[in-house]
Amino acid sequence: MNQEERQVTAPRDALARVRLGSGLPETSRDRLVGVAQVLERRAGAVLYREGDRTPYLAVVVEGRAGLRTHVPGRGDITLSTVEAGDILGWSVLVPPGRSHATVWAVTDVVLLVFPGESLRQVMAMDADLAAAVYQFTLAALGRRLGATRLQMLDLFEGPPAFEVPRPRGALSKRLADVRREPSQGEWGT
Amino acid sequence: MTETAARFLARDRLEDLVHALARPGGVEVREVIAPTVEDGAIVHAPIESAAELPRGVRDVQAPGVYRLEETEDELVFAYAVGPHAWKRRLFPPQRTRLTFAGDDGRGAFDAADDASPSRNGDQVVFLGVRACELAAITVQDIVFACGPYTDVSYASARGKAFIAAVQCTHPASTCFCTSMGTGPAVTSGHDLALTEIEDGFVVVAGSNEGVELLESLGLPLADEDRRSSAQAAVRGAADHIERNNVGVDGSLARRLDRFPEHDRWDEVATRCLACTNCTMVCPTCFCSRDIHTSVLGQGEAGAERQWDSCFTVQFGEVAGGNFRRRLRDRYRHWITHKFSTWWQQFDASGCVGCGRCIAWCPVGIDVREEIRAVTEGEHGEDPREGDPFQAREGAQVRAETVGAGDTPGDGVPEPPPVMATVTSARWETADTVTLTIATPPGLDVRPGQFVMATLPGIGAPPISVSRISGAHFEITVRSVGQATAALCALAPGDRLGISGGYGRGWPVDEAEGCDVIVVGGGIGLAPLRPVLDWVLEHRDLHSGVYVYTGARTPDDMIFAAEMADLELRKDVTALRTVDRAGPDWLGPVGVVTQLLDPDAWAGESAVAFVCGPERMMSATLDALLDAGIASDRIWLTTERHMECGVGLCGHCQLGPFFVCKDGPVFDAAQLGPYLGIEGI
Amino acid sequence: MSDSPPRVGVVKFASCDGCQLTLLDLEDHLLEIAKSFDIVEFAEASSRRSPGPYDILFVEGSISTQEQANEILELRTQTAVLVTIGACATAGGVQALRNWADHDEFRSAVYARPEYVDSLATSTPIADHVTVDAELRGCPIDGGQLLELLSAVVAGRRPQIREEAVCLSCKRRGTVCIMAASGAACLGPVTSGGCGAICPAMGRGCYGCFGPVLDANTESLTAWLRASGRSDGEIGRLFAGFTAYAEPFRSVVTRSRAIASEEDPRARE
Repeated sequence: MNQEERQVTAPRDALARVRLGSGLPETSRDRLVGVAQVLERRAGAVLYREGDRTPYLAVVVEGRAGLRTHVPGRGDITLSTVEAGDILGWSVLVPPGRSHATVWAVTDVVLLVFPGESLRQVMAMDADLAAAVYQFTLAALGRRLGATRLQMLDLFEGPPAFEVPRPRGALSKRLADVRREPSQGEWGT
Repeated sequence: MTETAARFLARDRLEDLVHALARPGGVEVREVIAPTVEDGAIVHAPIESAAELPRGVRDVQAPGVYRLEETEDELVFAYAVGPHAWKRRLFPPQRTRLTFAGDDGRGAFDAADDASPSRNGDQVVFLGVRACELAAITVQDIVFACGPYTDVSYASARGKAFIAAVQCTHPASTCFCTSMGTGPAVTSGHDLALTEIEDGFVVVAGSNEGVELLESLGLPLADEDRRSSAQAAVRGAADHIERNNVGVDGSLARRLDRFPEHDRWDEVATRCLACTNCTMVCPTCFCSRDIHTSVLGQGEAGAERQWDSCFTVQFGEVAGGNFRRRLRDRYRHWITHKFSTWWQQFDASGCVGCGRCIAWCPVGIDVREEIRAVTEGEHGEDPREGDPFQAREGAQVRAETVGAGDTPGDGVPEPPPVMATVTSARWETADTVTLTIATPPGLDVRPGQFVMATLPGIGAPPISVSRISGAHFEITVRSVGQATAALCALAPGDRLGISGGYGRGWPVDEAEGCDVIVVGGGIGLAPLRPVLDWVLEHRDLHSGVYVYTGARTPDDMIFAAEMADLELRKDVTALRTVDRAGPDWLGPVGVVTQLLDPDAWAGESAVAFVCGPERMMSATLDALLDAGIASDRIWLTTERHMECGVGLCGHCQLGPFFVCKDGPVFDAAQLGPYLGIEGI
Repeated sequence: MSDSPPRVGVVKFASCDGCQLTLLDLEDHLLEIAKSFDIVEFAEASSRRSPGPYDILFVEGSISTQEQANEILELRTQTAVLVTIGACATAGGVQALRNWADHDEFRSAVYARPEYVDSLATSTPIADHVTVDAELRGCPIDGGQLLELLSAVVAGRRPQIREEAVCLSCKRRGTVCIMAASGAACLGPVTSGGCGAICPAMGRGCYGCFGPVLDANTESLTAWLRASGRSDGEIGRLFAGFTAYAEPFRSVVTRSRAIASEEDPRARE
């Protein structure tokens, strides 16, 4: 990374780039910048680990992170990826403050991070700041939830394999009906 | 046409008329089809003599009920319409549509378009056609012979029919022609028109042929008394029908399309049997299906065209789904189409008020009641463009160009498939193949269009064209049913029938000078590929090019290598996402809407092309609209069941559209309101 | 299918043999059928008998004895594609009417030595016992549909056997609807087509040989019949035919019997 790009990834610039707190008063924004750090991680690094204490709220400035889980028999499955402008580590804001997924750096990533303890402190003292952080986080979670729902629909799944016309009716149903119907002699002659 | 005054045909000279109809000029050339009594109803059958007409017979009709009663009088036309519509003669219930002869290597398709309204294939007379039925014939003229493609069988049969109409004097309780503006008076479209009065018939001619026939009979002029009693009889019929009117008119019924979620659809579905009788007896219902046949291993195959009905379960089915699975969807579709969306399609009402669907419904469902229930609270004229019945006259003029002579309309005859050879077959994924096909002579296909890919004796699925290059074109087929499985199994050198290109393609010209956004999901990328080809070939004519594609997994991506190359291009932003992936996949995981980057586009001037599963398209559409792109600059392509590809079979309807000819590409302003309506 | 023609068997259980004879009635096509298929088991046509395995097995008849119930399980294991043919195999047949009756009483009334008759209390369709791959309905099956199924197997395509009511056949052939025109009761609107609507063309209501069409709205039809003056007993008898045991016909029969016997105990006699 050359000097010029480093300039961009100073906390204040990164904050502007991801448009967090853009509507905040200057003092609030300074507070936010005051607790922010820019982190760079190599592809393959584990950023969060499921069940561990969440270290920080992060906004992806560059690169791509992936939420992965291990499915026995199927290996590691990437469930979704988080791209520039989106958040990671939102669980730092809510008790018990533990991560819900393991997150890997899929590519080299640049993160703007807000360590949990200091973030909570500035949010407690500055309601405007807190509102901006919550709004930013909720918007990101809303997008992610909507996308997850679409993913759950499995839209690209193929139709069921070709089926020849199948007869209807099953053995269990038949037995149930027969039991319900006591024998009544010959029918209808 | 020479003006002729009304003539009087005495009752005892009716035989002369039948004779003259059958033998104009003294030579027998025409079969006379007329009302006769058979199996307790008045049906249409060939007659040799006036004695075969129903004399002294009255009909009593009510919802689900049709009965004949005998009287002592001599009247022969004193009843309303029966179970047969004239469409039986013009649009036969079953006919051979295609024949295929020869072995696989050399065989070819041939169109069999010589269906005839008469037994001997010659001219035919329809005697006893009522005003509502003439209107119905006009409606089918528009459907079959005034579109971009013509049903040649229909048009030729239509050109052979001489119409001897009869004014309605004894309407049934099921009649509502006055509500639909079609009767009871015959005013145009006839060669002759008879009004039955006590001692005979007042006859007028409506065409030169009618004039000649009338003159050949040497009838006296009808006197004042007879003319006025003829007029009074028709006026009496109109009054009678109006007294029965349950408060429904065509303008009110035209609003049915505004109530897709009305509770009444669920209620009527509990009564409707989906037996299809209403559609079968309807004189305007025109849906058909092609049954691709083969017999054992013999080389001959073909397709039979057969009356079909939107009430059958399979009508809206495509491999892997059914667009109208629920009975409520099918009932709603039928009645909404008939009374409402037909206007948008054909500039006319699909209902002529003949009441057949009411009398012949086995459980007596009355469309008038259903319309009234759904449009409850609506009053007055439909505020949409002008008077709907003004449009009908325009339609009549169009249709007259068909009826007047033996030439079909301006449309192109529905073509038989042309045999073409597969030059290469490439598996894209485990279930999807791209076939390269040598473009047969005369085949013109544009980006976004589809072809019907016909395999003799197997089927003719519609397949989007996925590349057009020089002397070849490509189709990308996913194996989802037996016909597509058979297409996927084709190898270089194999032949298949191709007809097309059909439908409205992508308006690639509109994107000139603009940002181009392409969003594709799954197999939906296939029809978009010709857009990409076009844009990349004319890269300098466009500003930014943004390509976003989604697939289920990396292994399910079609055109994977091409799309990977696209990602490397500096002058294109291309991103691919998958729903799930293993650790080897370093691209995005999620849905395609997450890839969209509105900040990058010049929102107002961008043009978007979208294809994928319907749910994906609606999510994408929302995102594109949010980004400020106008709905008429967003183009979507959609899927429906198609049998013919040319707007004649009725299967692919989506609201007011025929997907095959109005689409498959639509702008979002058109299609948007229908995305997400269940069962439309 | 591989290069050698498919091995085909035709077997029967409780039935009259009419359906398998439909195969022999395809006279114009028998040579072609013999060329396309290796018919290894067909007692009605040949004394040549062979055990499985079968590529295609046509099964006629319902399961009416314990022996049959065992045999169909065995046959299924030897069969790739099992096709049931006819109302007995697909719906239990007319003999399934005994499923509503007292089997022992029947047996004693008909046979001098009922203890020799080893039958089950019920007659049931093949699909109640094993997985069925395709079915041809009817009593008897339609030759055209059988030929279509065979042709589809040869061509490797889906058989063009549509799921639609008898009414479409009536209307295509121009038959006047006897329900509307004479008030006759007809099962056509709720019955699968395939027969070509023979009965209504002869002025008789449809007997429902081909069984209920998909989504058959028997509720609405029975409500109409009741409103037009028919008793529950009559309605029940209408549905109590060759495919009485196929839902939703079965429910109509069961319910009508219950209502009829409540109203008039003699109604079921």
